[in-house]
Amino acid sequence: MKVCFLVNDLELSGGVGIVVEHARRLGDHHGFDVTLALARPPTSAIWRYEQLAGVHVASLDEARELHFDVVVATWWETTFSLFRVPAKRYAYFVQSLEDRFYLADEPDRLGAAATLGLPVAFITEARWIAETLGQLRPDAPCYLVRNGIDKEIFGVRAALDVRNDGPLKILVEGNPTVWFKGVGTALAATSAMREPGHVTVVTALHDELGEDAPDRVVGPLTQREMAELYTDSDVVLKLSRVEGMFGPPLEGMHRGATCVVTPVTGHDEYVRHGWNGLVCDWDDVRGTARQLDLLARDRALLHFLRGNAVDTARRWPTTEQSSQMMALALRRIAEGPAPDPHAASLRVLDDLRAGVEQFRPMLLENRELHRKMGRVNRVLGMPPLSVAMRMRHRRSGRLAIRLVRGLLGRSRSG
Amino acid sequence: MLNWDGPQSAAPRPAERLERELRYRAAAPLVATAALWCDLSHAPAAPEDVAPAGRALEVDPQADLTRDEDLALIRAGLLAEDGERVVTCFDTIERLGTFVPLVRLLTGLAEHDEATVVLSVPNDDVLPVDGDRGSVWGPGAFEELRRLLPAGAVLARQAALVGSVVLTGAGDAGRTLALSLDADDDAGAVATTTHLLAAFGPRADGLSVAAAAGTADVAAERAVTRRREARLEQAEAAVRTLTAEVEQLRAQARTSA
Repeated sequence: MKVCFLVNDLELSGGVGIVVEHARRLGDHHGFDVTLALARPPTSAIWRYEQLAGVHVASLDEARELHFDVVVATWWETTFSLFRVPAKRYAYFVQSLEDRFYLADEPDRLGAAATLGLPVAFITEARWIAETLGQLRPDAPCYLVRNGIDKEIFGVRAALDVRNDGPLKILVEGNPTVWFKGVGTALAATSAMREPGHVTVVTALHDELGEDAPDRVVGPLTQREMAELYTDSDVVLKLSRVEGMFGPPLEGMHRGATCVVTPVTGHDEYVRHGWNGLVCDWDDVRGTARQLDLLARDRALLHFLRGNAVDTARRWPTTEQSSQMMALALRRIAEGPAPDPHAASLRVLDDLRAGVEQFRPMLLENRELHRKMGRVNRVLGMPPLSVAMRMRHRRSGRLAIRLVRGLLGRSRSG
Repeated sequence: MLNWDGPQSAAPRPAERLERELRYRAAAPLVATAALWCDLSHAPAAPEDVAPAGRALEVDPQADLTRDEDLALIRAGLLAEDGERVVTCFDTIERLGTFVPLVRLLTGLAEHDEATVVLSVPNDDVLPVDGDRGSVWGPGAFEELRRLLPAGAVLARQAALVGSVVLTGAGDAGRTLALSLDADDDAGAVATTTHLLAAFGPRADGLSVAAAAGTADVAAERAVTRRREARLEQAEAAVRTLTAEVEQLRAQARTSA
């Protein structure tokens, strides 16, 4: 069976890593002929995913010369290219509801949401997304394929060491410039701790961490390097605001680290408060700091959570099991009927209309402001004023302005 | 010589045999009217009174359920006869290195109305996970599987019971007793679920409620707990002794420094 995954690029990201892993395993273990097609020309270096070896990577133009059984979009922007690649069926691997990555006044938000109306079959990685899609698109088939963990890299700890002393070793990872990753909040919480802690941040952006400096900054790291770091850590602190199903706390669990996380969507796929981790409140720097202090002080609790974390990891599927589910889902999609284009079209048009109504007042306001600025600019362009504006940038002009301001200031105080 | 240090855990679980038989009893109404019954369960152990109206398909014990070729032979054997066909598949999927070919066979049979299938997977969220496994299962994995099944699949969960019985004499053995079942059916009840079952195909609604009970070896369970307690108490005492020695040595070191 021939399958094409459309990706925007092959830069480092958890989402792209998942797709690459599926591509490799489908080819190696399930007899699929898999192509990774880049929906846009590469603008930066391709991240050195271990799994990429042996996977056919093609440009969009090259993919358009072929014919596939299923073509799968993997990010909302890749749907723009989806139907340009010839295929029997089309699918959309939804790793998160991507409109939530954007703020309310960003047009990308509308674009990302509208792509959920396309006539495709859905594949997703978390039950909450599957349920949401089921409500939004009851007409479209939706398959669940949870992300597995590569247990050759993140092997489940066979024996867990007891850590009765030393500072609590906290790991924070993520892009500090991405608002929904919560890295700044995590560092603020560690700074607010009263008990001793040692904080390591993993990021490619070492200079963007703000005022709450950690003890150590590393990265970017390969997966194997991350596995070693998790092994050395007591707790993964992940305060994301938007996620499909985050992977780092689960990877950490495999290596014996518990976690402190926000109740972000998808966390309940494997985190249970007080069993294998702790769930803190939103925007609660002090409360999160107190939870970290608790782990630092109560080493029996820390060991209890770490032990149950490893137990949870033991019961989580491997990437191989996940790829079996993906293979079954893709075959069902290929063999099943195509989704009803009428229902999908209605959905897209509804979203389009909602978007027009949402942005209409903004565009009208923008037009009015533009008109007013036009008047202001006309006034500023009149000869005496235009001369004065030009004088501002000359030394004599600036001296004159200071003199006038000084005179005005004395007259007001007098 | 006294050998007190038995297993640290009660393995196999005492209820395991009883639970396995119960899965067959849940499928019994389907099997009873089948012209042909194919049992693909791991180490098949159907109770004697669970039997088809027609015959049971003999499956080669060496058949590799991960290989398309072996599964094709099973399919051919099933379709060689007309009439209602039932396939049971208990305790199998989780043991396979890959379940893709078997799931495709089973869903294909059901979708083409060629057989009714009943399968089970364990809830590994609560059960011990032994080494003899190709995959792990639980509510999340079952949801993945459910979405791959044909429309009209009937889902069931097998729950652990606690119970008690008052026996008045040797004549009580083998008696049939009526029980009032106090079972939750809400989402929180997943904690009591040991296995998840699915029936799919033309007669999927024939999957029935079933229950069974047997006496528990409370003494054996208590023995396992006591062994763990003894080891823990001994280890804690050793730690206290060592801690005291370390403190003493530290004090001596401070004095001589």
